[in-house]
Amino acid sequence: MYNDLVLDHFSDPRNVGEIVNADGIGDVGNPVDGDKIRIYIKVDNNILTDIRFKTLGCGAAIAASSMVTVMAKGQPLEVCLKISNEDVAKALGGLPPEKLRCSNIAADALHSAIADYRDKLVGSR
Amino acid sequence: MILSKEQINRYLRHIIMPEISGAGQRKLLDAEVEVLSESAEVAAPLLYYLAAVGIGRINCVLADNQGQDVLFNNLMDLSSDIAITSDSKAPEKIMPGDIACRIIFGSEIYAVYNLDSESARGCPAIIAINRGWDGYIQVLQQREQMENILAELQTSKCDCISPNEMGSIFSTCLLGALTTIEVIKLLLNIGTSAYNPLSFDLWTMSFENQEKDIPAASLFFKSKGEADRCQCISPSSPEYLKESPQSLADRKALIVGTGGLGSPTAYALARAGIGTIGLVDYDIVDISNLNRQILHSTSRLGFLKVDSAEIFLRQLNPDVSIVKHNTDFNVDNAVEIISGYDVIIDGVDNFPARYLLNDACFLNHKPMIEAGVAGFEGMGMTIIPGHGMCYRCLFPQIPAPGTIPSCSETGVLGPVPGVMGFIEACEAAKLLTGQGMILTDSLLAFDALELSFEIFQNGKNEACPLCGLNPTIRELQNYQVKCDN
Repeated sequence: MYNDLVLDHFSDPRNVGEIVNADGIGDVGNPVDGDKIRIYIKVDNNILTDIRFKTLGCGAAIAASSMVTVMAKGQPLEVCLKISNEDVAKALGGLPPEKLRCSNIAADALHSAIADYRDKLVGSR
Repeated sequence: MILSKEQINRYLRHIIMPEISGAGQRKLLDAEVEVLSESAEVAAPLLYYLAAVGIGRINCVLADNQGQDVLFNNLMDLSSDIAITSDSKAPEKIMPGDIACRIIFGSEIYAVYNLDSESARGCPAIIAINRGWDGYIQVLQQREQMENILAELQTSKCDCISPNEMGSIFSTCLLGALTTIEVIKLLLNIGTSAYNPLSFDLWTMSFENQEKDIPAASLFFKSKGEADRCQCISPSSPEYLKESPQSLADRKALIVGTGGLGSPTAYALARAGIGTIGLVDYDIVDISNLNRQILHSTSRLGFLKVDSAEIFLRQLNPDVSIVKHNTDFNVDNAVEIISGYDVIIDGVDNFPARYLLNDACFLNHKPMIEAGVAGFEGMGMTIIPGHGMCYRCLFPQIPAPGTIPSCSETGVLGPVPGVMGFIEACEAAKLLTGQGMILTDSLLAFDALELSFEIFQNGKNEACPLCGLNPTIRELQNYQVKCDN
């Protein structure tokens, strides 16, 4: 069902875990059931310096979470905000069609974490 | 990649759980455990689950190795990833080495006559001992604990001529699945290891996590001399116990689903000598089944599950009649399929089928043994129509679409359905032979990470839409819920 790259990211996910004192946290997914993704970010001088994720879900959701952290790490926030769910799926060499809608939501979680960071920034001013 | 493509597919249900992931599965595959047990037959349920979850190397020291070759072939066919060896060295000669964990597994008679404190050398060790329907499991950190346990067993051992054979089969099966869970927890450092003992009595369905690491009075629920409760045959046993209870051999059980729950249920009932097992499944054997579905194997990938199960069960006990229902269990065939059986056992993996089964059994007066699992947890109950609660008393309606886990991939630790399936089999056997106490009006909840069983007493729900005072369900309905994925 999954290609080798997806299997690799799913079985050996990169940047998995939490960040204590994260600058931003983003959650997406159905809270009752289904795939749930939480992304933690550290931001320094508008650069996303560290990123971690915790995902409860299917193989596609885990692989997409892992891939989006790899794509975003070290990038300016503007670049991170341009990463779309479709870009993540493309970087993974494709996902099964039935997974594209419900499980390919990792970029949304990243965007949500950046929004959280910016909200906090505004609040602290 | 840290795992091969085949391994990722084989252990998919483990890898998907963040507590295990690919890295945890790799650790299991790289680990070696040693099993000290009395015979291939006794150790079999333990070894099937150790193999299924992918413990890479298993060395067995069996006091009696009859049947070992057939068992080892089956184990390596269940999991092509493992190496299993047999060592006839006496336990005291074993040197601690690369072994991650030593398992001491068998009856109290075996423990008393075959083991000494050196058996637990190179701790951690897991000790799992049974006496008839009773069982005891503990993770040991020090050799001295082994001495205490052996001393306790020596003084408390039952004066049985023969421990209850049926009880021994179920308690050994349950201990096999529980022990596998403790092995995984130790190797991956997850959950709370059973440093404090868990004791259970399947005759009364009682479970107790003891508070201290050293058993205070007795390892088992039943102390010496309680032969009538022990259900063993001793010289002083009352006459009624010397007659065998109603025989399982003329009873028929239907198992709906031959997967994670159906596999251990069918295994244990076949071992216990049930007359007929009916199997319902429409699916074929997939490699991602094999982390938990011990009836199936690598060489039978692509077989119909009912055919694969039949091959396994015939080899296990040729006296059991197997009836195959190679079909989806649906509203049109449910009543006809269940009609020929004395008890119906739920081994399905989705809510619509579970509600259909509950309703069909209630409306047709069939006792039903129920269980469900997810991740590290399981639950179960026994439902006798007209005597206490049904599934809908607790959970009146089918969960709404979109909240149904079976629509997406969900993780499950291999031996968790093993635990619940063995409990289902035990409940079925007691019900069919009129022995012991069963889990009516109760919900049993199992937590593998804590190794705890809790039983919640529940009464019938008067507002139950099926069996309450004003039932709204009087015939089977449409149970199809569209998957939103």
